[in-house]
Amino acid sequence: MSVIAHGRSRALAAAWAAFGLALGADARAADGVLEINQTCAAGAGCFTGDTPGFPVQITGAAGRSYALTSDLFVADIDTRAILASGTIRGITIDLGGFTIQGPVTCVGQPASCTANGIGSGIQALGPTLSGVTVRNGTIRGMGGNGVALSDDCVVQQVNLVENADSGASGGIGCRIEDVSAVRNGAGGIGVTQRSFLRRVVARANGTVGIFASAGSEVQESVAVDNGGDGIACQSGCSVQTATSRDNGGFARRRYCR
Amino acid sequence: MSANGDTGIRPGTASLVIENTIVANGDRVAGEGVACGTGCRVHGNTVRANTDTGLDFSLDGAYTDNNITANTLLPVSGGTPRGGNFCDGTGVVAAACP
Repeated sequence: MSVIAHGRSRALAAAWAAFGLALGADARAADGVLEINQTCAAGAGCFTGDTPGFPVQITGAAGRSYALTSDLFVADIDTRAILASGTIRGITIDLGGFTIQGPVTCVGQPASCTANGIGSGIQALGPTLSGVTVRNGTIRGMGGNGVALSDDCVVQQVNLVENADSGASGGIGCRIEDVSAVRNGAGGIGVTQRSFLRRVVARANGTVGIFASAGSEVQESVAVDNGGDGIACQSGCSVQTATSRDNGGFARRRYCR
Repeated sequence: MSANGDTGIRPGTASLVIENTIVANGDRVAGEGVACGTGCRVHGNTVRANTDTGLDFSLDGAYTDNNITANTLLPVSGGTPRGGNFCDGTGVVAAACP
């Protein structure tokens, strides 16, 4: 797209946005992406299908592409920040470099957390949900998982830190790339069959660092100081050019010898 | 094989473990470097200072070109050596480890 055309589209989008705001409609970014921010998330709702307050509810009715335009703060351990439900295939949630922040903290190697609940950062589970992409940000301190996603999920460039359950759990055929899972209370990252993980770092998580079901591939990844296995996978999997070090318990002690 | 899940890499049946670095796993309880399911293939890894066996094959499986040193229990248990493995300070490239 040319600069001029892009400029025109932005101008048009701005006009539409102003029109939409005047009508009280969904907040849309210039490229049609639906915005999620703390004000609308905690307030009246961010778009069609999202009822007031947390979680931000994505039903697919409003669109397929969503982006954070501020950090999100969730106050209690049982509240999800973003919840996708219904029949959805192929939505994208761009964290935009922002953080979804819950109330939990975890300390130690492996991690022990202050509390645990059911409130995941982003939850998109169920047989009618697939192909959810989450990218580009941080999910920290949630009472449940950082992200809990169904089949064909994609998680890219996301930091999952000090969530009380696992950093990430994914269904069949997920793709996890350039993701770090640090000091989560349960496992770092766990995915189901035929998933692909590359450049994943799992450090100081409470149990297994990286778990992948049958037929998965783990490449160029690092599992360090986790409470259980560093990298565990089921039949027909491949683990290549990874580092697994100091997993299985009180790893910090090793550095003091 | 450790029942406590403190292994560096734990692949299932017919899996591949290729060119990894697996060091010092098993601090809380004894932990293997690699604990393989049936028929897994282990190639080109550095397996060092784990607190149980370096490479532990449950049944069948083969290993080639691995550097396996200073693991607490054994360098290797089970599996079939297919050459190029180095074990525990013997100073030679051994077809069989140990």
